[in-house]
Amino acid sequence: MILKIIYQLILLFISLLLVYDVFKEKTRMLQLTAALALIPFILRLLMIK
Amino acid sequence: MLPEITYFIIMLVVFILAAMWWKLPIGISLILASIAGALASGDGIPIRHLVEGTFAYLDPILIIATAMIFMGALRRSGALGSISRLIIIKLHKQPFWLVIFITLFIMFPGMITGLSTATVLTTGALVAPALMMLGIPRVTVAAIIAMSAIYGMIAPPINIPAMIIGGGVDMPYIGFELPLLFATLPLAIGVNLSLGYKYLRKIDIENIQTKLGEDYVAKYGIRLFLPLIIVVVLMLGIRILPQYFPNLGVPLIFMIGSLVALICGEKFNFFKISHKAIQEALPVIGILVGIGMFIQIMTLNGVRGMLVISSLSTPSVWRYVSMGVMIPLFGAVSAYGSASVLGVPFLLAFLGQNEIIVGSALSLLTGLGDLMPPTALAGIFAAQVVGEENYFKVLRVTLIPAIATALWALAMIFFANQLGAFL
Amino acid sequence: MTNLLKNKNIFPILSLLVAAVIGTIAANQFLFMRKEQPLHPSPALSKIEKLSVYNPNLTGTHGDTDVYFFDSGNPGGTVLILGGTHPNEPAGFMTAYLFLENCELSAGRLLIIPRANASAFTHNDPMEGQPQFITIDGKNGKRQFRFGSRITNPIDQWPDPEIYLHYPSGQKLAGNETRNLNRSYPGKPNGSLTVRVAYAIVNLINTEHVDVAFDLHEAAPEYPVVNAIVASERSQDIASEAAMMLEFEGIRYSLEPSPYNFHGLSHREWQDETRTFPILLETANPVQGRLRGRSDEALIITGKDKMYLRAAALGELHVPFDENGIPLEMRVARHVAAVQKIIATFSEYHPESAIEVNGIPAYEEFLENGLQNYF
Ligand SMILES: [Zn+2]
Repeated sequence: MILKIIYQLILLFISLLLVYDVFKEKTRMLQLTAALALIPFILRLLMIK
Repeated sequence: MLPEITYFIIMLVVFILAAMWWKLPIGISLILASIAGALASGDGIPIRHLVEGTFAYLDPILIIATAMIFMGALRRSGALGSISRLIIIKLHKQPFWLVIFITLFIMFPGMITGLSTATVLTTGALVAPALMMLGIPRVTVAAIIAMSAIYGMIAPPINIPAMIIGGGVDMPYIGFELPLLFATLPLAIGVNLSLGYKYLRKIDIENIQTKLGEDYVAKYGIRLFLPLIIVVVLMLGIRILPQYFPNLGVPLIFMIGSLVALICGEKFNFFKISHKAIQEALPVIGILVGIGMFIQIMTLNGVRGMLVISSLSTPSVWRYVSMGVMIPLFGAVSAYGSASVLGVPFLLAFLGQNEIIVGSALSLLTGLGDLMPPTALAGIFAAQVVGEENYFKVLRVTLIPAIATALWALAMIFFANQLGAFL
Repeated sequence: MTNLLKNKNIFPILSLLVAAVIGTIAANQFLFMRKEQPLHPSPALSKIEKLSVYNPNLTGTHGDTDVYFFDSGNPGGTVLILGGTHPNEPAGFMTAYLFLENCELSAGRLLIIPRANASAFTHNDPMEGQPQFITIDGKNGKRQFRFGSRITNPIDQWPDPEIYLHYPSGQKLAGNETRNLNRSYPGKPNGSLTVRVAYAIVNLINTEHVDVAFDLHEAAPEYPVVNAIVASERSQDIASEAAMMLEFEGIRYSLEPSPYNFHGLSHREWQDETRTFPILLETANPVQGRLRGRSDEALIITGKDKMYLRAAALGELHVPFDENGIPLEMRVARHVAAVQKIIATFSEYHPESAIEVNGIPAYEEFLENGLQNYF
């Protein structure tokens, strides 16, 4: 249970890094990659999937 | 002709067009190919399937992301450079033992975690600067790291592809230690000696010593290596004394190591190195997201089954060729995927042979999948670790070792019963 | 805000919006799987209990599920039927549903846990490309049944360890098997959700003095143990007698002993931890196999698959497979026949603990009327 919360924090941290990265990537396609990669992170973070 | 062949060709053509022609990132190309495959088979754009596929490699993505952060932290704290210093100073006089030590050293995290990427990014990254300074060309260094990482992942005690293959036929993961050692150790030592030894016989230590960076060990003492020690102890602890060590999982262990590095050496900005790590890992994260989608759609529209049944359809001797080619090839989408999708049916096809030997050898073949583009996780990260932009150059050096590995695995399957008698 | 809306930020914001839309659509479909479709128990029902009665640590979790009690009021033994240990094995849970909605009892008790791993019903396995539901056009109209995953939802149990160490044997399996109910027995009162469910079931078997316990499964046609009755040492005799009788009726079952060295399996641990007669049943289901072609609802219902036809021609399968496929109806019929035969055989051997379940069709009758007639 505690472990799950810790892992959600890790997910949150990496999700934030990815959101930041969407704005920092140089090419549009890498920006899009970062945005799409966020989907599973956010859905797991919200405990939907 | 089966319609599945058409779907497959459509998916491949879209992928190749996107990746080679439009120069899109591999991840995006895989997503486009998945959508094309679903449209071709009349499934429209099945959002649920597409998104579900992205979850396939969520845990590996977490491991890669946190391993990259850990490596960044070790580099900035000064630990990375200092390890190279130590290796060079202590071992440059005995090149043979240097190779043996480096081989086992790189393999170690792979042996206890069963993860090739974590291996490349930890011990691989630790020895890379030293090997380059000792005069081994950097693509060769990357090849040594990539191959050792794969052997480490397959070597006992932990081999996840073997567990997946065994799990598929309800075979417990028992008695694999010797067969897996036999499958990996001779190859690892042989391959690394043949790749590296010739450069190490004439080491110009005077020249190298001038290039060695600052000696942070003198400044921080053993504390410098504390993050590394903690990571090793936590990883080993859960394997050796599972009743006393909490099962933290590899991502958390790497995060702990990274945080500890903050106070054990040169100062650095944690957010900055983390962002840099994610940025470096993004293409691979994209690939893993895309590949999950790709397989999900291939499974939905029957292409996967078509590929599996085609690989099984080959008669006697050709079945070995088909195994040696198809399992690594399918490993392009990840060694684990290959273990599950092809490893299990092939093991079933060889039922009656010594199953532990066959399973071990099949797991070795799946390991080669980590060299197969476009994912080529071991190759990509090994290239990154040595600072080589074009990972295909690394793959070229690994070609002969990879072929030797495949032949070794096939020979093990062919002689499974004889080997089983004494392993 | 104006800062954020600079030109160079437009594409990133658009990308995030696209991701948000896709994520939301998918999230809705994922969440829909959490909704339980109603089952309609037969009038013989005496009570519904929660599984958490047998392990309070399940209360309020997605692992808690209904246990249906059918009591004849007459003396006799107790039978337990588990469906949905693996919710991607529809003949397993559909057979449990069939007993639940059609049974009448004249001796002993029948306990049914139709969704043994309730959490695993709430999601699907990534990369398997399988449908979320199967639809049966039953006598009272169309009914949807969830088709789930082999393992517990990661929402309820995450992260997986790299290696699953079975409790208490210490046996090692791949990490995600830690969410496999049929690798988690005998379980323990606290621990992972799956292990808690396993413990509750073992505790129920002991508390309710279950005489015969069925765990209903399906397996891939290329898998060696298929169309099989798996029996532990205690249930060998009954199982072999029943298998012989079924063979007379043209229903072929192989008899497999419960392996000694493979821990966590229901039959293995029920033998060692309880006094019940454990039985696990397997039918052949192409939708689980690695050789299958298109993975859709039709494959589940009809069991027809051209890739498996090719596999059969290659001699890779352990069951006969032709262009008629192995329809769900046939797979359920086999389970129903085997369960009935084993109950009858047990009752014959142990008349003081006889159980008599009526209202369930015989094999031929069932195939004649069709699956839809019983739902
Ligand atoms: Zn099952």
